[in-house]
Amino acid sequence: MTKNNYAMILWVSVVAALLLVAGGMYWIVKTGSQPTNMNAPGVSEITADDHILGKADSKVTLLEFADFQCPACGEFYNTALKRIESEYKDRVRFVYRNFPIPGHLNGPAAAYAAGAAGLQGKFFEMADELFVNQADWSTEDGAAMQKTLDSYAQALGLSMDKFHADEGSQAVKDKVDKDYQSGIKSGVNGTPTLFLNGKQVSPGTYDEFKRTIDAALAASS
Amino acid sequence: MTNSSEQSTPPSPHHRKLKRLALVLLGVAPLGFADASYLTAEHYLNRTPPCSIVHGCATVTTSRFAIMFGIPVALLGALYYLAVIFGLVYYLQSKNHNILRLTAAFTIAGFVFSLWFVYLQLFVIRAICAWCMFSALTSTTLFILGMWVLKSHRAYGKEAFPEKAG
Repeated sequence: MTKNNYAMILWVSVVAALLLVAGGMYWIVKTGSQPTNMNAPGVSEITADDHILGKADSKVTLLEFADFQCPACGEFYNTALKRIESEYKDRVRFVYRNFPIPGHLNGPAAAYAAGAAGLQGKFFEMADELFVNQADWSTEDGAAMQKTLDSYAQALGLSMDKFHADEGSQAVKDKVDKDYQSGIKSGVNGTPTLFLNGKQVSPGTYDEFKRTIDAALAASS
Repeated sequence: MTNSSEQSTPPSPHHRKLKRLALVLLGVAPLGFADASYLTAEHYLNRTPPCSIVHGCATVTTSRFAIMFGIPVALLGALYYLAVIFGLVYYLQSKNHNILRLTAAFTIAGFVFSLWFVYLQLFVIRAICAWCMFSALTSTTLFILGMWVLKSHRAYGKEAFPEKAG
């Protein structure tokens, strides 16, 4: 084999190997981008310490695992869930559980603020502030973010001393951790993940979501 | 047939060491290339994907810092690793030490960009993307190895490359 042939074969194999690698990565992203685990093995019981909105004794329960800093959760809330909650809150029980994604540096602080607001009966109001204004606080550092959280708490008329004490309390942290662990147990590996009466659903749009909930309500009556 | 002076030099221990370093670099660079390809594919394929504890999140890769000069930084990263791989393969094939030195010096750029991206993740975007951190790790490794190559070149310079001494 001549030296030129050898060089040619070397370069062709290098380029082929790199194309294979790049193609493989494209394939991984393409096939790996569907929503989380589709066969979650049931969800633990809804308990009194859960964050519950809507009709407490409804036969239809929508459980959401979400992270306040997750862009997909914000988009889902702002384009579908917010409307669904306001339209169905007299017929459906909505439950929110925290599933803070590692790597989101402001996610835990947001979850603690919501938990603290929850102790004053304003969990979902705080969650609304957090999701609607997600882009504002997501990139703030600790001190700036606390100011933003304070402004939400003030707007909701919370007692600020109690809010601050609860934000840093072990009980609030434990609840976030308990939510996360229940998610892991249920096979949740990403956010947002929704369970309708214990069965995982992945509605892409508001209309699809509405149909899913209507069907569950019809089946339960 | 004109410039074939390099191959007449018998391989000295210094050359062997540099070749070994180049092979180690060549072992690391494809990891960075694979990683950057993944991020590039993600950039072009995704809408707002769900956040996953395994696959990470789009917070970083969809941030306004993910595009530079109109080009996704993931693609720039892939091209960077590609350039390093080509430089190394070309050196191993041609034994042209200037190419190796150029490639080694180029890893400084990769390292500086990585520092900047880690800073952005920690202090500006306030979210960490595991795939981006992995790329920072590979480019830092390339940088350390690259500096080793340059240092070896300098240390062996007088002996191994007498025409460049002084």
